[in-house]
Amino acid sequence: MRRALVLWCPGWSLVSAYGDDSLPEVVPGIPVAMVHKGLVIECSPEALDAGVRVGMRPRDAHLMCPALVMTARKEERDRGAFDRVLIDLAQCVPDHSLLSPGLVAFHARGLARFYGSEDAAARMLIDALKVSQPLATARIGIADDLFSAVIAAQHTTAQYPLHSVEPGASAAFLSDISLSVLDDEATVSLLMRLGVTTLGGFVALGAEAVRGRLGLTGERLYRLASGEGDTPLTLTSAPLDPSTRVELPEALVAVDQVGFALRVPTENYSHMLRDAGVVCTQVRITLGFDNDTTHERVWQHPRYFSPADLVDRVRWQLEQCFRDHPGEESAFPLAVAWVTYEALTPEDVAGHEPGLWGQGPDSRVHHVLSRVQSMVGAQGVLTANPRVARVAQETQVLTPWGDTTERHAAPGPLPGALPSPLPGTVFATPIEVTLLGEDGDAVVVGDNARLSALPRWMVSGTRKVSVASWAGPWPVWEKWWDPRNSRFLHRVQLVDDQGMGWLVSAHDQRHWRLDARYD
Amino acid sequence: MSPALTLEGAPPGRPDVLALQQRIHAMEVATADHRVFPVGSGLEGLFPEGGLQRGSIYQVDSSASLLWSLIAEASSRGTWCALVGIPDAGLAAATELGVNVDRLVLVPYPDTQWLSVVGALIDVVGIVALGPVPAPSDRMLSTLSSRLRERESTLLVRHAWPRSEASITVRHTWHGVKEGGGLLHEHLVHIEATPRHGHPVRSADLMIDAWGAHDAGTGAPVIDIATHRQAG
Repeated sequence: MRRALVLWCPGWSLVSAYGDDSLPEVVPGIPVAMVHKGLVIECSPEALDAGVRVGMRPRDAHLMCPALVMTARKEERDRGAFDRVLIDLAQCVPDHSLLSPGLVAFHARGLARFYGSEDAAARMLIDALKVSQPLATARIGIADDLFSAVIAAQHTTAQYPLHSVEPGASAAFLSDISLSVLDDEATVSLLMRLGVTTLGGFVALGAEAVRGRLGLTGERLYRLASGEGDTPLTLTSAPLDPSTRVELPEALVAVDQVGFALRVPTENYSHMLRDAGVVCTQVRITLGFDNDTTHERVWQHPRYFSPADLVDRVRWQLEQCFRDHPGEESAFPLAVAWVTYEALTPEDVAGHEPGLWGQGPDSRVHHVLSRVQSMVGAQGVLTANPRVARVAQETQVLTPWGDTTERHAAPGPLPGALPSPLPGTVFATPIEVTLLGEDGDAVVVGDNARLSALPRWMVSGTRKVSVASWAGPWPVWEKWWDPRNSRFLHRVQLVDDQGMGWLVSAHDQRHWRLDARYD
Repeated sequence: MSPALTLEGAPPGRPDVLALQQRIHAMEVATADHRVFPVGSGLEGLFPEGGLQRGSIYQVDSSASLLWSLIAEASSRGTWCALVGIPDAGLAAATELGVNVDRLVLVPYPDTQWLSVVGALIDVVGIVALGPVPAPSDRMLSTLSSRLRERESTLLVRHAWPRSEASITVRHTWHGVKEGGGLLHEHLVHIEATPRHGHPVRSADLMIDAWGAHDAGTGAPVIDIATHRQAG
């Protein structure tokens, strides 16, 4: 005789939302409600105290408790969070059968044999869950069949988190339970209208009568209700741990050494993912240094990471680290002691297999550009995403290849934007210049937005350009309502004696910057 | 005729055959064009072949309008273009002149690795524009040239280059500003292409204004403004 043990974490969506970094406002201790399909499906004890109930409409819930924080249920988040629990539980229970995030079944007999008794096994699971996820509460139901065990778990209380149905007592246990626990709404509604309200009443109808009137569906429900459900548990071992930590044999300083030492472990990690049938398109890499500091960054890949891609990302991240802390590099060279990879969104490999005829030119482009990135660094290969702006440098928006680009919406009218035709050359760093008048005095902008003299020369270092004609200045005043971020400048267009156009701007009265060339 | 060979319905009539022949001819012309990257209608006259020859190197003046006008047509037809060692290119102007920036890659600071970068890029990129780089040796040059011919990519270099197909120079004239008033609004670009083999110099005039680039001679738009606006 088999026995099933079901572990149920009530309010799992809420627990997983507490752990979601992207929801900083959802924390334990405040009224929170989880909304799904326009109804509250779970709420925190604080919300419950305020009168929020499961099944309410969000508007009514808000009325009951104005401070209520509402958030939508996310299946993947629930799953991911529960996978982490299952990985931890795998240390005490080898195989499990996941029914839904927050609800998992085990074979009770093996557990009872190993831990001494069913109660001992249940206590062990409750403790293990507490360690793995302190915010979750565990309820356990044990019965001969899975259906009864789930119902038993759902009929526990916080005070008595364990409900064990004696062997052979499933039918008796189920007989008082409401019919609504069955998952067939049409049949349940029909039986309710016929005056049958409990599972016991349903069973009392008799197997022949149910089969005759409700067919196979009815028969299945009848077997569940009479405690004879024989749904076998489909056992799987612990889910794949999507993260791995590579300890380097010794703390390494040189980027190349780190890359070399990582090659084999990274390949193993990649193979492990691949064997589990997933690929990773987003990875969080954490570098651990020997002075106990860490550096963390999330990388994305337009396709998915190959082992070489992962090692490249580590190298780039390390180079970035050294760039950010140049002083530390020379005085106390930072040495890498360990590296962790964490695949953030493992995706099914089936969605990423190359097609029979390859993936067309774009995958080739990606391949080549990634190769160039491995030569000049991730920041060295850029894609352009120009936008409308008032200062020439701000029209240039460059994103490293492979990073997600923010698409700017269709440019709306921007008062004071640079007029078309736009300058062909925009200096990445503006050049300091001086404008000189006919008599050799520096040209400044007066308070009334007029130039103090007619510009005749533009001088930068030893270079001197003769100005043939000019237009402006045009004042640009950005964010005048926000004194900290506001900016005031004057723009002037110049044409030199060669016919070339220039754009200069003055951010204060005296200092001119050469922003762009109209060439 | 055996029944197995008859097609369903009537046999193709003479008009259908003519239409098919026309289609075949059209396709044949397209393959002939394959040897060049198309340029806008004002610039065709600069090149004996009617466009940038694939696998060749052109020496161009360091003028952004020239660069964008040369690659705009090919880029808008889906050719990938790359700028190597040109950190200051004005990208908003590129969009204005019809360059498809979604198919544009920039490697602003290749430093000493420019040759490997260009060598890798031309596997997928049709037109590479190269900014000032350390002087290459003769051997590097011949390797690069043969790679370019093999991959059928075109290189536009912005400084003196010993073995270029043609050297393209520009002269700018801006109209619109005068002593404090007005606005730069009309850009006349006089372009001259000097081929390597002492062939006659070819020239073209381009007018660039807020509506894009036009052939200054005929006034015909170099870039189809309607599609350009849509893309923008």
